[in-house]
Amino acid sequence: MKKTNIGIIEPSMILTEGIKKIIDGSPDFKLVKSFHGNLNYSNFVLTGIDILLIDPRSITETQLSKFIHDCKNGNDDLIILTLQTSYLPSQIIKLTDGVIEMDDEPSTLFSKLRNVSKSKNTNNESCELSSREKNVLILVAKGKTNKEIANQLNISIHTVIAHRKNITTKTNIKSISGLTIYALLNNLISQDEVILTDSK
Amino acid sequence: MFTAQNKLIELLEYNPQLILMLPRFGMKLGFGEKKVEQLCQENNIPISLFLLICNAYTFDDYTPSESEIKEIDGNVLINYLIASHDYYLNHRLKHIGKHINKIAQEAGDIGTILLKFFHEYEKDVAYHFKNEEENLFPSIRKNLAATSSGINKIDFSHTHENIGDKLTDLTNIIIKYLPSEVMSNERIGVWFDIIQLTKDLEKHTDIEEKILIPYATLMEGD
Repeated sequence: MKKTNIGIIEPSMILTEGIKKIIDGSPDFKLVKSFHGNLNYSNFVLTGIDILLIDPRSITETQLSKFIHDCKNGNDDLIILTLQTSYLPSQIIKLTDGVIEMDDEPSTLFSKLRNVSKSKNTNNESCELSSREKNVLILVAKGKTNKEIANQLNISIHTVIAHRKNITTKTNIKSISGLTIYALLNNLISQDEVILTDSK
Repeated sequence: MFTAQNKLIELLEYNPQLILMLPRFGMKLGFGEKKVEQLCQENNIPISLFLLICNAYTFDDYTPSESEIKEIDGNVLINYLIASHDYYLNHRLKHIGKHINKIAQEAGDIGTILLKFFHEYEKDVAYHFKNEEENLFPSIRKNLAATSSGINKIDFSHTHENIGDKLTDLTNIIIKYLPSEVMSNERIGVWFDIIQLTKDLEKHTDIEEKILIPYATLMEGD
Protein backbone atom coordinates (compact mmCIF):
# COMPACT_ATOMS: atom_id res chain seq x y z
CA MET A 1 0.00 0.00 0.00
CA LYS A 2 1.35 3.38 -0.91
CA LYS A 3 1.45 5.87 1.95
CA THR A 4 0.16 9.39 1.55
CA ASN A 5 3.13 11.72 1.96
CA ILE A 6 2.71 14.74 4.20
CA GLY A 7 4.83 17.88 4.23
CA ILE A 8 4.73 20.46 7.00
CA ILE A 9 5.72 24.11 7.20
CA GLU A 10 5.68 25.08 10.86
CA PRO A 11 7.97 27.48 12.71
CA SER A 12 7.86 25.52 15.95
CA MET A 13 10.21 22.56 16.05
CA ILE A 14 8.40 21.08 19.04
CA LEU A 15 5.05 21.14 17.25
CA THR A 16 6.59 19.67 14.12
CA GLU A 17 8.18 16.80 16.03
CA GLY A 18 4.92 16.09 17.85
CA ILE A 19 2.89 16.02 14.64
CA LYS A 20 5.53 13.87 12.96
CA LYS A 21 5.33 11.36 15.77
CA ILE A 22 1.56 11.11 15.47
CA ILE A 23 1.51 10.95 11.66
CA ASP A 24 4.31 8.41 11.34
CA GLY A 25 2.46 6.17 13.79
CA SER A 26 -0.18 5.56 11.14
CA PRO A 27 0.32 2.98 8.38
CA ASP A 28 -1.40 5.24 5.83
CA PHE A 29 0.60 8.45 6.22
CA LYS A 30 4.20 9.52 6.46
CA LEU A 31 5.67 12.91 7.22
CA VAL A 32 8.36 13.20 4.58
CA LYS A 33 9.38 16.83 4.65
CA SER A 34 9.38 19.53 7.28
CA PHE A 35 10.40 23.13 7.25
CA HIS A 36 10.93 25.36 10.28
CA GLY A 37 11.73 28.98 10.67
CA ASN A 38 10.93 31.73 8.27
CA LEU A 39 9.72 30.51 4.96
CA ASN A 40 11.60 31.51 1.90
CA TYR A 41 9.45 29.46 -0.37
CA SER A 42 11.84 29.37 -3.26
CA ASN A 43 13.76 26.65 -1.43
CA PHE A 44 10.88 24.49 -0.28
CA VAL A 45 10.66 21.56 -2.68
CA LEU A 46 7.21 20.05 -3.05
CA THR A 47 8.19 16.94 -4.97
CA GLY A 48 6.72 13.80 -3.49
CA ILE A 49 4.28 15.58 -1.17
CA ASP A 50 0.56 14.74 -1.39
CA ILE A 51 -0.72 16.89 1.47
CA LEU A 52 0.98 20.04 2.71
CA LEU A 53 0.23 21.41 6.19
CA ILE A 54 1.10 25.05 6.57
CA ASP A 55 1.06 27.20 9.66
CA PRO A 56 0.25 30.73 8.39
CA ARG A 57 2.62 32.12 11.04
CA SER A 58 5.45 30.94 8.78
CA ILE A 59 4.78 33.64 6.26
CA THR A 60 3.26 37.12 6.00
CA GLU A 61 -0.40 37.35 5.08
CA THR A 62 0.27 38.93 1.71
CA GLN A 63 2.82 36.29 0.78
CA LEU A 64 0.60 33.44 1.88
CA SER A 65 -1.87 33.58 -0.98
CA LYS A 66 0.94 33.86 -3.51
CA PHE A 67 2.70 30.92 -1.90
CA ILE A 68 -0.41 28.75 -2.05
CA HIS A 69 -1.04 29.81 -5.61
CA ASP A 70 2.54 28.92 -6.58
CA CYS A 71 2.33 25.55 -4.82
CA LYS A 72 -0.87 24.60 -6.62
CA ASN A 73 0.47 25.78 -9.90
CA GLY A 74 1.76 22.69 -11.65
CA ASN A 75 0.78 20.42 -8.74
CA ASP A 76 -2.91 19.89 -9.47
CA ASP A 77 -3.13 16.97 -7.04
CA LEU A 78 -1.54 18.77 -4.11
CA ILE A 79 -3.79 19.34 -1.12
CA ILE A 80 -2.96 22.19 1.25
CA LEU A 81 -4.33 22.36 4.79
CA THR A 82 -4.01 25.19 7.28
CA LEU A 83 -2.36 24.28 10.55
CA GLN A 84 -4.16 26.48 13.02
CA THR A 85 -2.28 27.30 16.21
CA SER A 86 -4.20 30.44 17.18
CA TYR A 87 -7.19 32.43 15.96
CA LEU A 88 -7.11 33.03 12.21
CA PRO A 89 -9.46 35.20 10.14
CA SER A 90 -11.65 33.16 7.82
CA GLN A 91 -10.20 34.70 4.66
CA ILE A 92 -6.89 33.05 5.51
CA ILE A 93 -8.44 29.67 6.18
CA LYS A 94 -10.40 29.89 2.95
CA LEU A 95 -7.16 29.98 0.98
CA THR A 96 -6.51 26.31 1.75
CA ASP A 97 -8.44 23.05 1.34
CA GLY A 98 -9.16 22.60 5.06
CA VAL A 99 -7.97 23.12 8.61
CA ILE A 100 -6.12 21.04 11.17
CA GLU A 101 -6.47 22.53 14.63
CA MET A 102 -3.98 22.25 17.47
CA ASP A 103 -6.72 20.86 19.72
CA ASP A 104 -7.65 18.07 17.30
CA GLU A 105 -7.39 14.56 18.68
CA PRO A 106 -5.10 12.29 16.60
CA SER A 107 -8.21 10.42 15.42
CA THR A 108 -9.74 13.69 14.18
CA LEU A 109 -6.47 14.56 12.47
CA PHE A 110 -6.44 11.22 10.64
CA SER A 111 -10.08 11.39 9.60
CA LYS A 112 -9.47 14.88 8.17
CA LEU A 113 -6.38 13.67 6.29
CA ARG A 114 -8.28 10.62 5.01
CA ASN A 115 -11.21 12.71 3.86
CA VAL A 116 -9.12 15.06 1.78
CA SER A 117 -6.96 12.30 0.30
CA LYS A 118 -10.06 10.26 -0.54
CA SER A 119 -11.64 13.06 -2.51
CA LYS A 120 -8.47 13.07 -4.56
CA ASN A 121 -8.15 9.35 -5.36
CA THR A 122 -11.67 8.65 -6.46
CA ASN A 123 -11.45 5.10 -7.73
CA ASN A 124 -8.65 3.94 -5.49
CA GLU A 125 -10.47 1.06 -3.84
CA SER A 126 -10.56 -1.25 -6.84
CA CYS A 127 -7.27 -2.97 -7.57
CA GLU A 128 -8.60 -4.94 -10.54
CA LEU A 129 -7.43 -3.55 -13.85
CA SER A 130 -10.23 -2.42 -16.14
CA SER A 131 -10.42 -4.07 -19.54
CA ARG A 132 -9.06 -0.91 -21.17
CA GLU A 133 -6.15 -0.87 -18.75
CA LYS A 134 -5.49 -4.52 -19.55
CA ASN A 135 -5.35 -3.70 -23.26
CA VAL A 136 -2.88 -0.91 -22.58
CA LEU A 137 -0.81 -3.16 -20.33
CA ILE A 138 -0.59 -5.86 -23.02
CA LEU A 139 0.77 -3.35 -25.51
CA VAL A 140 3.20 -1.91 -22.94
CA ALA A 141 4.47 -5.42 -22.25
CA LYS A 142 4.95 -5.97 -25.98
CA GLY A 143 7.28 -2.99 -25.98
CA LYS A 144 5.02 -0.49 -27.75
CA THR A 145 5.52 3.24 -27.22
CA ASN A 146 2.74 5.49 -25.91
CA LYS A 147 2.23 6.85 -29.41
CA GLU A 148 1.87 3.38 -30.93
CA ILE A 149 -0.56 2.37 -28.19
CA ALA A 150 -2.63 5.53 -28.76
CA ASN A 151 -2.83 4.81 -32.49
CA GLN A 152 -3.69 1.17 -32.08
CA LEU A 153 -6.43 1.72 -29.50
CA ASN A 154 -7.64 4.88 -31.15
CA ILE A 155 -7.27 7.02 -28.02
CA SER A 156 -5.17 10.08 -27.23
CA ILE A 157 -1.65 9.88 -25.82
CA HIS A 158 -2.98 11.68 -22.73
CA THR A 159 -5.42 8.86 -22.13
CA VAL A 160 -2.68 6.25 -22.60
CA ILE A 161 -0.57 8.04 -19.99
CA ALA A 162 -3.54 8.22 -17.60
CA HIS A 163 -4.14 4.47 -18.04
CA ARG A 164 -0.48 3.72 -17.42
CA LYS A 165 -0.55 5.82 -14.26
CA ASN A 166 -3.55 3.84 -13.01
CA ILE A 167 -1.93 0.53 -13.88
CA THR A 168 1.14 1.48 -11.83
CA THR A 169 -0.99 2.69 -8.90
CA LYS A 170 -3.02 -0.52 -8.88
CA THR A 171 -0.16 -2.99 -9.32
CA ASN A 172 2.55 -0.92 -7.60
CA ILE A 173 4.89 -1.85 -10.46
CA LYS A 174 6.67 0.94 -12.32
CA SER A 175 9.22 -0.53 -14.73
CA ILE A 176 8.24 -1.88 -18.14
CA SER A 177 9.96 -5.19 -17.51
CA GLY A 178 8.16 -5.50 -14.17
CA LEU A 179 4.83 -4.85 -15.87
CA THR A 180 5.71 -7.46 -18.48
CA ILE A 181 6.15 -10.08 -15.76
CA TYR A 182 2.84 -9.02 -14.24
CA ALA A 183 1.12 -9.42 -17.63
CA LEU A 184 2.68 -12.86 -18.07
CA LEU A 185 1.71 -14.02 -14.58
CA ASN A 186 -1.85 -12.95 -15.24
CA ASN A 187 -1.93 -14.69 -18.62
CA LEU A 188 -2.51 -11.46 -20.49
CA ILE A 189 0.32 -12.28 -22.88
CA SER A 190 2.26 -15.41 -23.70
CA GLN A 191 5.93 -15.89 -23.23
CA ASP A 192 6.87 -15.83 -26.92
CA GLU A 193 5.33 -12.37 -27.29
CA VAL A 194 7.77 -10.93 -24.80
CA ILE A 195 10.96 -9.11 -25.50
CA LEU A 196 12.37 -8.23 -22.13
CA THR A 197 14.32 -5.13 -22.90
CA ASP A 198 13.73 -2.08 -20.86
CA SER A 199 13.93 1.36 -22.28
CA LYS A 200 12.80 2.76 -18.90
CA MET B 1 22.18 13.58 16.98
CA PHE B 2 25.33 11.55 17.53
CA THR B 3 28.54 13.19 18.79
CA ALA B 4 32.19 12.13 18.96
CA GLN B 5 31.68 11.47 22.68
CA ASN B 6 29.12 8.71 22.04
CA LYS B 7 30.38 5.15 22.23
CA LEU B 8 30.23 3.37 18.90
CA ILE B 9 28.01 0.73 20.44
CA GLU B 10 25.50 3.45 21.39
CA LEU B 11 25.20 4.46 17.74
CA LEU B 12 24.65 0.84 16.70
CA GLU B 13 22.07 0.24 19.40
CA TYR B 14 20.15 3.29 18.25
CA ASN B 15 20.38 2.37 14.58
CA PRO B 16 21.51 -1.21 13.88
CA GLN B 17 21.89 -0.39 10.16
CA LEU B 18 24.98 1.66 11.05
CA ILE B 19 26.95 -1.58 11.36
CA LEU B 20 27.24 -1.23 7.57
CA MET B 21 29.40 1.88 8.05
CA LEU B 22 32.20 -0.12 9.65
CA PRO B 23 33.50 -2.04 6.63
CA ARG B 24 32.91 1.00 4.41
CA PHE B 25 35.26 3.06 6.58
CA GLY B 26 37.63 0.17 7.22
CA MET B 27 36.68 -0.14 10.92
CA LYS B 28 36.86 -3.55 12.55
CA LEU B 29 34.54 -5.31 14.98
CA GLY B 30 35.68 -5.95 18.54
CA PHE B 31 35.72 -2.25 19.41
CA GLY B 32 34.63 -2.76 23.02
CA GLU B 33 33.37 0.33 24.82
CA LYS B 34 35.41 2.81 22.78
CA LYS B 35 34.05 6.20 21.82
CA VAL B 36 33.61 7.33 18.23
CA GLU B 37 36.39 9.89 18.69
CA GLN B 38 38.97 7.30 19.72
CA LEU B 39 37.98 4.73 17.10
CA CYS B 40 38.15 7.28 14.30
CA GLN B 41 41.60 8.41 15.43
CA GLU B 42 42.84 4.83 15.64
CA ASN B 43 41.56 4.05 12.15
CA ASN B 44 42.59 7.34 10.56
CA ILE B 45 39.02 8.35 9.75
CA PRO B 46 38.01 12.04 9.85
CA ILE B 47 35.66 12.22 12.87
CA SER B 48 33.42 14.94 11.45
CA LEU B 49 32.79 13.06 8.21
CA PHE B 50 32.09 9.80 10.03
CA LEU B 51 29.54 11.55 12.25
CA LEU B 52 28.06 13.47 9.34
CA ILE B 53 27.37 10.24 7.46
CA CYS B 54 26.06 8.37 10.51
CA ASN B 55 23.73 11.27 11.30
CA ALA B 56 22.51 11.67 7.71
CA TYR B 57 22.02 7.90 7.59
CA THR B 58 19.96 7.84 10.77
CA PHE B 59 17.99 11.08 10.98
CA ASP B 60 15.82 11.71 7.91
CA ASP B 61 15.40 15.39 8.68
CA TYR B 62 19.08 16.09 9.16
CA THR B 63 20.68 18.22 6.48
CA PRO B 64 24.29 19.23 7.14
CA SER B 65 25.08 22.94 7.23
CA GLU B 66 27.37 24.63 4.75
CA SER B 67 30.17 24.95 7.29
CA GLU B 68 29.97 21.23 8.10
CA ILE B 69 30.10 20.38 4.41
CA LYS B 70 33.08 22.64 3.80
CA GLU B 71 35.15 20.75 6.37
CA ILE B 72 34.80 17.41 4.62
CA ASP B 73 37.70 15.51 3.14
CA GLY B 74 36.25 14.81 -0.31
CA ASN B 75 38.60 11.93 -1.03
CA VAL B 76 37.49 10.06 2.07
CA LEU B 77 33.84 10.68 1.20
CA ILE B 78 34.35 9.29 -2.30
CA ASN B 79 36.18 6.26 -0.90
CA TYR B 80 33.20 5.65 1.34
CA LEU B 81 30.78 5.85 -1.59
CA ILE B 82 32.90 3.46 -3.66
CA ALA B 83 33.05 0.99 -0.78
CA SER B 84 29.24 1.20 -0.56
CA HIS B 85 28.92 0.46 -4.27
CA ASP B 86 31.11 -2.59 -3.85
CA TYR B 87 28.96 -3.83 -0.99
CA TYR B 88 25.71 -3.43 -2.96
CA LEU B 89 26.99 -5.09 -6.12
CA ASN B 90 29.30 -7.78 -4.85
CA HIS B 91 27.60 -8.72 -1.59
CA ARG B 92 23.93 -7.78 -1.35
CA LEU B 93 22.88 -8.27 -4.96
CA LYS B 94 24.89 -11.49 -5.23
CA HIS B 95 23.17 -12.76 -2.11
CA ILE B 96 19.70 -11.76 -3.32
CA GLY B 97 20.53 -13.28 -6.71
CA LYS B 98 21.10 -16.66 -5.05
CA HIS B 99 17.62 -16.54 -3.52
CA ILE B 100 16.01 -15.42 -6.77
CA ASN B 101 17.81 -18.24 -8.56
CA LYS B 102 16.28 -20.82 -6.24
CA ILE B 103 12.83 -19.29 -6.57
CA ALA B 104 13.19 -19.12 -10.35
CA GLN B 105 14.09 -22.80 -10.57
CA GLU B 106 10.80 -23.71 -8.94
CA ALA B 107 8.73 -21.21 -10.85
CA GLY B 108 8.92 -22.89 -14.24
CA ASP B 109 8.73 -20.75 -17.36
CA ILE B 110 8.09 -17.58 -15.43
CA GLY B 111 11.32 -18.24 -13.51
CA THR B 112 13.41 -17.57 -16.60
CA ILE B 113 11.77 -14.17 -17.00
CA LEU B 114 12.14 -13.41 -13.30
CA LEU B 115 15.86 -14.16 -13.46
CA LYS B 116 16.19 -12.04 -16.55
CA PHE B 117 14.45 -9.17 -14.78
CA PHE B 118 16.82 -9.47 -11.86
CA HIS B 119 19.95 -9.61 -14.01
CA GLU B 120 18.73 -6.63 -15.95
CA TYR B 121 18.37 -4.76 -12.67
CA GLU B 122 21.88 -5.80 -11.61
CA LYS B 123 23.17 -4.44 -14.89
CA ASP B 124 21.31 -1.12 -14.42
CA VAL B 125 22.82 -0.68 -10.98
CA ALA B 126 26.31 -1.65 -12.12
CA TYR B 127 26.04 0.83 -14.98
CA HIS B 128 24.88 3.62 -12.66
CA PHE B 129 27.75 2.99 -10.23
CA LYS B 130 30.31 2.64 -13.01
CA ASN B 131 29.22 5.95 -14.43
CA GLU B 132 29.74 7.64 -11.06
CA GLU B 133 33.07 5.93 -10.48
CA GLU B 134 34.46 6.65 -13.92
CA ASN B 135 33.08 10.11 -14.54
CA LEU B 136 31.61 11.92 -11.54
CA PHE B 137 34.08 10.91 -8.82
CA PRO B 138 37.24 11.48 -10.88
CA SER B 139 36.05 14.95 -11.90
CA ILE B 140 35.42 15.81 -8.23
CA ARG B 141 38.86 14.48 -7.29
CA LYS B 142 40.37 16.50 -10.09
CA ASN B 143 38.72 19.67 -8.79
CA LEU B 144 40.00 18.82 -5.33
CA ALA B 145 43.56 18.77 -6.58
CA ALA B 146 43.16 21.80 -8.84
CA THR B 147 43.92 25.41 -8.04
CA SER B 148 40.91 27.73 -8.07
CA SER B 149 41.40 28.64 -11.72
CA GLY B 150 41.43 25.00 -12.81
CA ILE B 151 38.06 24.02 -11.34
CA ASN B 152 35.56 22.59 -13.80
CA LYS B 153 31.79 22.48 -13.66
CA ILE B 154 30.42 19.06 -12.80
CA ASP B 155 27.45 17.30 -14.36
CA PHE B 156 25.27 15.65 -11.71
CA SER B 157 22.42 14.56 -13.96
CA HIS B 158 23.16 10.84 -13.67
CA THR B 159 23.40 10.95 -9.89
CA HIS B 160 19.65 11.50 -9.68
CA GLU B 161 18.72 8.40 -11.67
CA ASN B 162 16.40 6.22 -9.71
CA ILE B 163 17.79 2.78 -8.98
CA GLY B 164 15.19 1.84 -6.39
CA ASP B 165 12.01 1.51 -8.49
CA LYS B 166 12.83 -1.88 -9.94
CA LEU B 167 13.61 -3.27 -6.49
CA THR B 168 10.12 -2.27 -5.38
CA ASP B 169 8.76 -3.95 -8.51
CA LEU B 170 10.73 -7.06 -7.65
CA THR B 171 9.32 -7.27 -4.11
CA ASN B 172 5.80 -6.83 -5.44
CA ILE B 173 6.24 -9.54 -8.04
CA ILE B 174 7.78 -11.97 -5.57
CA ILE B 175 5.30 -11.45 -2.75
CA LYS B 176 2.06 -10.47 -4.47
CA TYR B 177 2.05 -11.92 -7.94
CA LEU B 178 4.11 -15.14 -8.15
CA PRO B 179 1.79 -18.16 -7.80
CA SER B 180 1.15 -19.16 -4.17
CA GLU B 181 2.69 -22.59 -4.45
CA VAL B 182 6.23 -21.38 -5.23
CA MET B 183 8.67 -21.67 -2.24
CA SER B 184 7.17 -19.38 0.36
CA ASN B 185 10.04 -19.51 2.88
CA GLU B 186 12.58 -18.53 0.28
CA ARG B 187 10.31 -15.68 -0.79
CA ILE B 188 9.86 -14.46 2.76
CA GLY B 189 13.63 -14.51 3.26
CA VAL B 190 14.37 -12.56 0.12
CA TRP B 191 11.64 -10.03 1.01
CA PHE B 192 13.65 -8.95 4.08
CA ASP B 193 16.85 -8.82 2.05
CA ILE B 194 15.31 -6.62 -0.63
CA ILE B 195 13.62 -4.29 1.86
CA GLN B 196 16.90 -3.85 3.70
CA LEU B 197 18.77 -3.13 0.46
CA THR B 198 16.08 -0.69 -0.68
CA LYS B 199 16.44 1.29 2.55
CA ASP B 200 20.21 1.22 2.32
CA LEU B 201 20.12 2.45 -1.28
CA GLU B 202 17.73 5.25 -0.32
CA LYS B 203 20.18 6.41 2.34
CA HIS B 204 23.01 6.13 -0.15
CA THR B 205 21.15 8.45 -2.52
CA ASP B 206 20.43 10.78 0.43
CA ILE B 207 24.11 10.98 1.27
CA GLU B 208 24.97 11.80 -2.33
CA GLU B 209 22.29 14.48 -2.47
CA LYS B 210 22.80 15.96 1.00
CA ILE B 211 26.57 15.74 1.21
CA LEU B 212 28.38 14.91 -2.04
CA ILE B 213 26.54 17.25 -4.40
CA PRO B 214 26.52 20.29 -2.04
CA TYR B 215 30.20 19.60 -1.35
CA ALA B 216 31.16 19.51 -5.01
CA THR B 217 28.99 22.51 -5.78
CA LEU B 218 30.57 24.54 -2.96
CA MET B 219 33.95 23.72 -4.37
CA GLU B 220 32.93 25.11 -7.75
CA GLY B 221 31.79 28.34 -6.13
CA ASP B 222 35.02 29.02 -4.29
